[in-house]
Amino acid sequence: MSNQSESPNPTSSSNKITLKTSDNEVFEVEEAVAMKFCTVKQYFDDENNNNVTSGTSTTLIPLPNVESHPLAILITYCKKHLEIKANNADNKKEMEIDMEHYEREFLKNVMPQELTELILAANYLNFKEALDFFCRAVASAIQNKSVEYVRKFFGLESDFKPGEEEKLREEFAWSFEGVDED
Amino acid sequence: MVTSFGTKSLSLSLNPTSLPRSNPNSINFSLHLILSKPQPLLSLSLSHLGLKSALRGVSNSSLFNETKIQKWISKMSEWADLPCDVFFQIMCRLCSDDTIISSAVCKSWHLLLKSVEKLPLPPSCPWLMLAEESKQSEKINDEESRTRGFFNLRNAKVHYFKLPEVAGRRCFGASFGWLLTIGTDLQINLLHPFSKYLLCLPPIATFCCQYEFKVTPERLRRMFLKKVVLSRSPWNPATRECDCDWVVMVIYGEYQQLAFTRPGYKAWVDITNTQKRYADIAFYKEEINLKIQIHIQKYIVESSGDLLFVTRFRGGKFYSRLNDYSYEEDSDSDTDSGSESSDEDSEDDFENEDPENVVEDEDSENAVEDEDSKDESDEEGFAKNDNPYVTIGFTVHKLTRCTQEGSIFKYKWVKVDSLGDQALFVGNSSSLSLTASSLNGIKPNCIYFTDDDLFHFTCTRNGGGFDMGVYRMEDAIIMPHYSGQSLSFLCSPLCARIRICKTTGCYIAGPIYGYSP
Repeated sequence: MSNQSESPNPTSSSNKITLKTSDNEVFEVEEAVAMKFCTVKQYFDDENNNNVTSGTSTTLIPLPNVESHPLAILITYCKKHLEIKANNADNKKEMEIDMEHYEREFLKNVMPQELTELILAANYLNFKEALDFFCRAVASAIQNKSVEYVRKFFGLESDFKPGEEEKLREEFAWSFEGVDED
Repeated sequence: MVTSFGTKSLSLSLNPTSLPRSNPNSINFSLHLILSKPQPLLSLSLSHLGLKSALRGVSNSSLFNETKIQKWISKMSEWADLPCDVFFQIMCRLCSDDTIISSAVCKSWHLLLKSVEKLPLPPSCPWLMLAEESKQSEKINDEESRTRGFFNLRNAKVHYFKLPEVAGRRCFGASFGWLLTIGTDLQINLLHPFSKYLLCLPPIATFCCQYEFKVTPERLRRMFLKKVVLSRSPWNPATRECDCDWVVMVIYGEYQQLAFTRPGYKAWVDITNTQKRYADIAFYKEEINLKIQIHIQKYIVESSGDLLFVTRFRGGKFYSRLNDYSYEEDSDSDTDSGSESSDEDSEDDFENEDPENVVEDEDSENAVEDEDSKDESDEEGFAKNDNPYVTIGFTVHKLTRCTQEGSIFKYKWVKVDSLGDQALFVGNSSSLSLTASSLNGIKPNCIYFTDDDLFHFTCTRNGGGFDMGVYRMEDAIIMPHYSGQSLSFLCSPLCARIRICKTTGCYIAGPIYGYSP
């Protein structure tokens, strides 16, 4: 799967950076997009410092902790992010409204399981905006939900000894009241 | 390796070429760094916990088949730090009862969240302590089962707690999560609700200035004190240690004078000052700040190092005569520095208002008589509002150093148009300013206010407490926060702050307005 599209940011250079995921997919992305991934940026900068004279920017950056599926979504998100930023460079408020709108639409197409995957990928890539957005999304998804729902959401199982969970629920009975079951 | 924790991020380049490959040492090192930044006590034990829960998460997820799980486990050292790091990032965005729910999800989360007190979680959100329900106060014999409602501003849930200690008592929000209560026995207590720590303060009889005329205990309970602030928390609920170096200061009595007491004192000590009619007090940079009262309510708030001066304008029947009152003069009024003898300049302004204050009180009583007649003459657009008084707006001024040459004053008040990311909480507790972005659900640049128009509670049909809400600074619009009705003649809703108390594992709440950063 190769990702090529118009440069989202007209001021950015047209340099392409190639990313290789753990499942051996290769992504070719704009430098502006790749630089949003701090992990990639760090690697890229170090690489450049080491090869000042070589001048080649065709380095293949392997990402052994990221699979192609979340990376593709992250790249799409990043492009849109840059685009919105460029379109509203002088109006912060407009930008926030556009971003909010996009993020709302974005979440409609994302499954909870994907979200966990995306968070891990965004965290590994150190893509701050995305990580913040996904964490917010998860927080609002489990906000005011029952314990069972949260477990299902994260795919976790209770490992409390018998009685432990009951004790906890009794102690904080008030916080378990009035939550949504699903 | 590059990792991030919360809003802080650390870049650590150990070996640039090691990025693609797994390097357990570099991972552990970076993990230690992220965690050691806020608190250098968490390291590998947490990473194991995080790892465990994360692995469970993976193995139960339908997304991963068996071979993939094997693959993940083989690479586990690479992302051992992720879940715990990310976990806190998510938890930071939840409110306190959601984190309790999360702590019941599984053991590792429980352990992680128990360490929450040590991590840089944002200050917990204020709660609104609702008025005593009138049905309950009828069942006087059943005091032990008295509950009190608390409204969570973040998720709009109401929780009920057993609080017989405050039943039938007038409550004030002090600071640091403490309530000051007065009963008809005229005893004064400081109470830390939920941890139930109770301190007895000298009773009303020990104040120097008593009412000149005979007043019933009921009236004393309701009227005697006006405002309470604590210089610091007398007892640390987390460590269960007592602190004997605190002062509690009140505005009290007919003339709204100042008095204080401290541990070991048997009586309240007056602060002798020719000035009277204080409206608000606050501890600011270890000094006490005072405000002289007029009927336009004022508050002083310490907000990220600045001293803010909040003016609350009320409208409605009782105040309709005051709508013409121009308050512009205040923005230019210079004041002295925030010491006990401050506001010489302002004082003159305010004292002139006294006669009008009396007139206005008479006016309010007249207004009660024709409360049912709907002829509102409110020019501010609140004509539909049936309430005898209602808040119509706020202005905020900041204390700044006076640079004007020749001025005899060191400081002056400058008008503030925006609070930035701060949210202010004012009303019948000590005033408070909090950073909104750290509190999911609290709006920035807003003033949260509760009803503190004590003198007019008796003039209302069902008791005071309706005049509360959220005032947006940017467009001057007032929105309600609590949708229900919570009215009382004795003690209207006040804001309380709640936070996790680690050692007891219980939640404590207290009046919000006195939280000090």
